[in-house]
Amino acid sequence: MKKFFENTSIRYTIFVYFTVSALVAILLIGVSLYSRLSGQLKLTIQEENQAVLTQVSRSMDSYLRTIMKLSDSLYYGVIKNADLSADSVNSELTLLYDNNRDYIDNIALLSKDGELLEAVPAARLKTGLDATLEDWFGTTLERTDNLYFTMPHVQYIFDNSENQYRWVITLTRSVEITHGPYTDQGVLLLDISYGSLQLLLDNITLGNQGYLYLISSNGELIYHPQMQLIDVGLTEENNLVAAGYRDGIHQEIYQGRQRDITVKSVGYTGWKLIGVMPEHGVALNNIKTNLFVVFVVAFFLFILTLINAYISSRITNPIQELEKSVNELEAGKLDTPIDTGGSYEIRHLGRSISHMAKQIQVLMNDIVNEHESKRKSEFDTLQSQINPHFLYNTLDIIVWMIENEQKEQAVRVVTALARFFRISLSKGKSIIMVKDELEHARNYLMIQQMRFKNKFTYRIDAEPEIMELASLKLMLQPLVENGIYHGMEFMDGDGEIEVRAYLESGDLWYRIRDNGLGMTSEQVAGLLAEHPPLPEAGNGEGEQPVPSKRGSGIGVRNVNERIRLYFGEQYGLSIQSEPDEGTEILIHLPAVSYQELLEKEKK
Amino acid sequence: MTNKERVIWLLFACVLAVLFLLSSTDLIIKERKSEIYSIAVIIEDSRDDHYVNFKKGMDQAAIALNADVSFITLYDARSSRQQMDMILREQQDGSGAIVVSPVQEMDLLHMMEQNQIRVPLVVLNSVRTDSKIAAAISPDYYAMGQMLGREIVSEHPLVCPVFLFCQYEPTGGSELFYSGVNGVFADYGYPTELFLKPGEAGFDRILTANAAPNKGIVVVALDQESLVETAAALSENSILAGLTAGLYGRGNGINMLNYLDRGIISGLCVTDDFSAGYFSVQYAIEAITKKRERGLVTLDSYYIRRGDIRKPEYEKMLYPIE
Repeated sequence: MKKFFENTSIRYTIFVYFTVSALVAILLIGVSLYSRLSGQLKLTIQEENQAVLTQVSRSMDSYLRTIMKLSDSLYYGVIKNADLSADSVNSELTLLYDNNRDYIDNIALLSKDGELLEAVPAARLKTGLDATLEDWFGTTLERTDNLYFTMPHVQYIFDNSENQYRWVITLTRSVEITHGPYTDQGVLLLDISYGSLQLLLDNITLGNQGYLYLISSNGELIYHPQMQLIDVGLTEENNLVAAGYRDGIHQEIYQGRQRDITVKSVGYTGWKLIGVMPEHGVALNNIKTNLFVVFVVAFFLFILTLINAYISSRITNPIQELEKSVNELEAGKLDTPIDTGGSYEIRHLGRSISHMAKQIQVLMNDIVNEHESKRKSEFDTLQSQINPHFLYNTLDIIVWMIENEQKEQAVRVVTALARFFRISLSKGKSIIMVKDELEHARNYLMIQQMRFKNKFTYRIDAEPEIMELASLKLMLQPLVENGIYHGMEFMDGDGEIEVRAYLESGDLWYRIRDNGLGMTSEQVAGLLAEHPPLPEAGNGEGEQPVPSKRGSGIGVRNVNERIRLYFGEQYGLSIQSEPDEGTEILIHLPAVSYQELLEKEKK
Repeated sequence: MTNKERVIWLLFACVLAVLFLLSSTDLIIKERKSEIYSIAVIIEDSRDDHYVNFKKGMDQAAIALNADVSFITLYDARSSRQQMDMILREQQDGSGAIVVSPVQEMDLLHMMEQNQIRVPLVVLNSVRTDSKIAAAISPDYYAMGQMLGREIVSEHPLVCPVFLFCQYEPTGGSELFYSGVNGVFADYGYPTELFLKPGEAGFDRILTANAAPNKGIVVVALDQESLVETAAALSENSILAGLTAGLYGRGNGINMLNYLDRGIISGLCVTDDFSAGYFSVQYAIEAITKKRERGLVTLDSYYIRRGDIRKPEYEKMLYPIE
């Protein structure tokens, strides 16, 4: 994990943290809201189911009370007051039957011996049927104070009845029958139409797929919407377990399905109304609702992710811009503008880096300037050194001239030498006027001409308007020295050296031409090469100033380096030479007024 | 934003769109529509006396499985031509499936061979498993006949003549039932004789003409009509009742049970007609919705005597709760 974040961008890291936080928050909120809503809905449905069940229970109570009141009316209003040995109660029974025939199929009065005393509608007991053997008969006589309800059954005992073979629930009670002076026990029977019970309970649904059923105290089914199917085994019900439930809401898993069971007892009978509400019947449990919750969570996550992406970009884009700028700085582009956008901290950091870059640039410029200055100084020092051989030879000529009484010539040489040294020094300046540089070359050539006994001639030409222009000191001397020593020393015949200064294309040009031995193109290339092989030095540091030695070409390279150091890379010298034809060196300098340069330096 | 990020955003948006379509529209997940299946039930009789329990099962299935069931009787009992016309009419009227108790199985098969029936067909009282029949629901009439024969033999251990009554020449279920019961009597050496209803004259004439006093004739009705007619004759004529040692048959109509309860019918082979009615509608719907290719339901048969009517195991079968 740590490694993962080490290799990822700050933007991605912020994005991941934000998104994960948002996801967790949304999931927590979503799950809690869903649970809350689902629970609330479930609770509401349960309460509604319970309300429906309570209502149905009341209806059932009312229904049973009506029947029990009928039973009371039959007993206390008709049977108890009648002397069956003298009166017939059939008309009273018929009247009550007619008033209640919607839910009563049969009313019968039996003696304790099982004899049918009265029956409405008119019927007789089946031939050979002993009513005392019926389950309800004995129980009723034993429990004289109670009403007895049978389970639903087909009424079988009557013959020739219009309600024969109908499904009924038989209500019986023990009654006192008067026969003349005697009273005896008997059984009053009321067949409650099963159809009327069905009417009461049919088409009551709980929630989406819920239903209710009615069981006896020991769990036997009295009513179920699919009662017949259960009996033939086409479906099943958990009624025996439900018999053990107390009134209230229970949960059970039946046939692998979770369902809520609401139980409500029916008064007097011990029957229980059972409401069944499958868990998947709750509206929030269907797949579309679940998918909708997932959609809402995903949608909010999407929106939050978009916001996260925007925020992380807002935070990290300035950092990335800053990083790019720092990379540019790293690459050496110290003048790269530093982006200083974003938050306060990042702006502050940007400004600090920008300041640091400027400082580095200043320091580096200082170093470069110092380095250049040092190089200039070295080159100048080197260039200004007078070859001891030249001095020795010149003094030797002067001595020789004095000994041979050639005083005028000796004076000329001494004068030239003095001028030569004066210009060499030039108060330590490196830039002098063109006329001084030409004078310096002339003095040198004159001295050498004396020394070499007029073995060569020289000519110095310059346009008058260039005389006041700025030139580099001691630039021409090494070049004419090369022309003398390498071009003419071993040459047959008279040598010629020509120095010309002129303006061309707005720049200052010097041309030094001799008719000496000349050089091959390889020799020329070697003279100006940036890193010529230096046997003496043993390394390739060609741009370093080195003492000039005869034949090494170092003097020429030093001049070139000095020109470029002082005036720029676009200036310098070029050489054209042909063996046995001579050599021509062109020096290219900017045409700058010496006075202007002085003023600029002063500033 | 990189291409990878764009792809991820696009995928996320696509997932959202799919979730929306799944959760809030009917384009992908369709709300379950409560489709009503139209089914026609065409019996072989002009009356539905013998289909009371069957109809209860049928009605229960119609409620539970969302079906609109038309129960159709013929104008003339056992008119195969009329039944074929009814089938075509119901098919034309848009019935999704037809449940039929064929008068003549061969006529029905011939009709199917000619591809005149284009809706699923559920056949009652037939064990034929033709590829064009969606389901066949029937008791095993041959086994039922054997069971009745064995019960009669056990109740009448002394060899006695057995009259076999049938309204028409036994076909289909009656033929199998006849073979089953007759086979048992043949095995035990009971002489049997098949009598078809002689026109308008009832079976009482046959009994009067053929019954020898003191011989104790056992009468077996091969079809329900013959059983009811004979029972009615015996209940009205005590002399005839005295000529018969017992009346047996098959079926569980209310009138038959009543005769059984009164002791006029000695024993009955019954089946669970409620379940047959339920299965017929269920299989018809499964054939319409193509949930089941072919079904064969063989209903169990039970032999009951008078005392069995009130037994809890038979009570709901014989008198189903509506």
